Amino acid sequence: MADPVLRVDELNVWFEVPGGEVHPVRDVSFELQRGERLGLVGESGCGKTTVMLALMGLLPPNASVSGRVLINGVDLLERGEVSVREHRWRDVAMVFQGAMNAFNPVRRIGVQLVEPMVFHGVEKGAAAKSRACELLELVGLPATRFESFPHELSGGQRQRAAIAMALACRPKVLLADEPTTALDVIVQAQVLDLLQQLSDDLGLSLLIVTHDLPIVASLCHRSVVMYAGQVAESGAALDLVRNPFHPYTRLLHAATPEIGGSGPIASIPGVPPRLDHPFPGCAFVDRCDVADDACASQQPQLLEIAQGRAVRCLHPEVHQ
Amino acid sequence: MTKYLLKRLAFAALTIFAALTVNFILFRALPGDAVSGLKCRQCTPEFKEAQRAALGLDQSLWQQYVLYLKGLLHGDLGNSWRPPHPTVWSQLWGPIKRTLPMILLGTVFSVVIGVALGLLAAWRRGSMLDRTATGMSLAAYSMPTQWLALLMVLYLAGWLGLPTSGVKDPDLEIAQLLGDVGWWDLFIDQLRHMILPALAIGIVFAGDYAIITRSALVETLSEDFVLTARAKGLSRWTVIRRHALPNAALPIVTLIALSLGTVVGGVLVVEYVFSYSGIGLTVVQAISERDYPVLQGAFLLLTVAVVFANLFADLLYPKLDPRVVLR
Repeated sequence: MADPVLRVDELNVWFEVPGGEVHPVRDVSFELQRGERLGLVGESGCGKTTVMLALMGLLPPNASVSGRVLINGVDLLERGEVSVREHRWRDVAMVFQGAMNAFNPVRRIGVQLVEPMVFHGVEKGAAAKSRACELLELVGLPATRFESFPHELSGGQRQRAAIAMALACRPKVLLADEPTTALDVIVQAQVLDLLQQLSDDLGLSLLIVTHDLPIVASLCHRSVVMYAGQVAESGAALDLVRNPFHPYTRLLHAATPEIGGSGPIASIPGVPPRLDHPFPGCAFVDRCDVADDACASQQPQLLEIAQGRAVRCLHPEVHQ
Repeated sequence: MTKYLLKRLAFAALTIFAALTVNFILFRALPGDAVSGLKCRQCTPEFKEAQRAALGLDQSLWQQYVLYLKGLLHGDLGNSWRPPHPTVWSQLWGPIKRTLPMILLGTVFSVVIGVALGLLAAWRRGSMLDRTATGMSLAAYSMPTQWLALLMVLYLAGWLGLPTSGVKDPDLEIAQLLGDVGWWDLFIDQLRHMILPALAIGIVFAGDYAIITRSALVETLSEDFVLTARAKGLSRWTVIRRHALPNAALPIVTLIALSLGTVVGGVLVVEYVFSYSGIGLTVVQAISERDYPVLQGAFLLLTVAVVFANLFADLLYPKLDPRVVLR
């Protein structure tokens, strides 16, 4: 296989908090090939957004990071803030959670689109403006939106504009953090289609963070399921839904409500473990429906048990 | 927009009318008048009555009020009661010309000092620098203006070599009469005389600006678009300059307009300490002489200034924040 565009190696994040330390990201590793779409899935607080922010070097000052983030073989985090800044938006751009507020309300959309191009020396002057207009049209907005203020756009339009802004410096990797959370279902589908089309057309690698397994299954090639800061399972997106090895993946999928479905909506009982101390056994042991005594005392390792499928479980549910 | 402007102008007229009525009553509510304080050999009760009649003080309050309003409608602020009874306008115009640039310079000082302090505090939020800057702002905010002005006269003036009183160098005034002084020298001399009083006002009001700027910036810096701006690779300073300061402009502009009224209170004591013959000293003198027309004139001008500064600030908002719509 070709060299990955993005490689994350043993990423760990700690937060210094009053009275101790929290460890929300534990030994997370994954790779992203050119043009590949990868989903990072998990419930709230599992560390998926923290991973994203760590990739961009945008964590708050009380955070410390170990591990490597390689873009085309260059380590982003090697020299701290200054070295990351050059890579931000040029190599890795981002569409934020609640990107409705990604634009400064007092400045025009166009100005904010042009800003990173000028800052990184990609384009300037009239060329930057015409590129911004092209980008707006690429995401399905009229070029006249260049002169608009953010509040003059609807939620879906703003999300499209945010995607256009993310493409400003021709990034290799696009991170999308819950890109559709605040949108209604129809606009959600349109935005996902747009993302898919862009990654196909531009060879853009996409890393999508979401709690929505069906979105990942329909959009992504591969997915990584995170639980309590660890990778629980990874593999081809469709395989993970059809044939989950990890009980958490199975339960997470079962918890997705079906349209027209009858009966109560399934949920996973219990709460995730506290992240301020090491786990004695499996992180999922308290909520798992197949856990036994070994799970409580023995930490499972992330093992590749089939082609391209890795799982962190003592009792992987492999059905041949 | 036109409708909004008309509405606001009507409201401004109403405000000014209410203020001038209150001013009229307020001065006359005090016991005694301009004549009762006179003490001299020929100041017999008959003489005092004649003086009262000459000033119109023998008429009823209502008649005086109607007369005052009639004069105002003709643009006539009245005449000073102090012999030789010059018009109020001629009494006020000179001091205003000296005070206005001083207030302006003072406001520039306070905005620059205040925004800089607030910016530092917000930038390094929670640090020693933040606590120092916030502490300094609170100290400046609660400092008595006249005390600060006195300290400046005692310690700062000599060190900086700046004059501590008056508005003009006496030597220069003589030279001017002889006609061999360039406008540039006059300008520099006036500037030197207004720096210290302006700085006193500037420092006292800088506290307000620092606190407002800090809180506005802290709020803005936690917004999603600031995180986005950082993700775009912009440097810390560029993020603040382009994505936080413009958003903080709204409360700062509001404060500039609002503080105009309070600044005049500061001007009163500062001009007294620095013997700066501006509008503040004129008002102090008029109060001691019970010169109602001059007082009424000064307060009327102040009212108009504050009302229109606020109107101007409101009209500026849509330029600062496109989400604001005037109606």
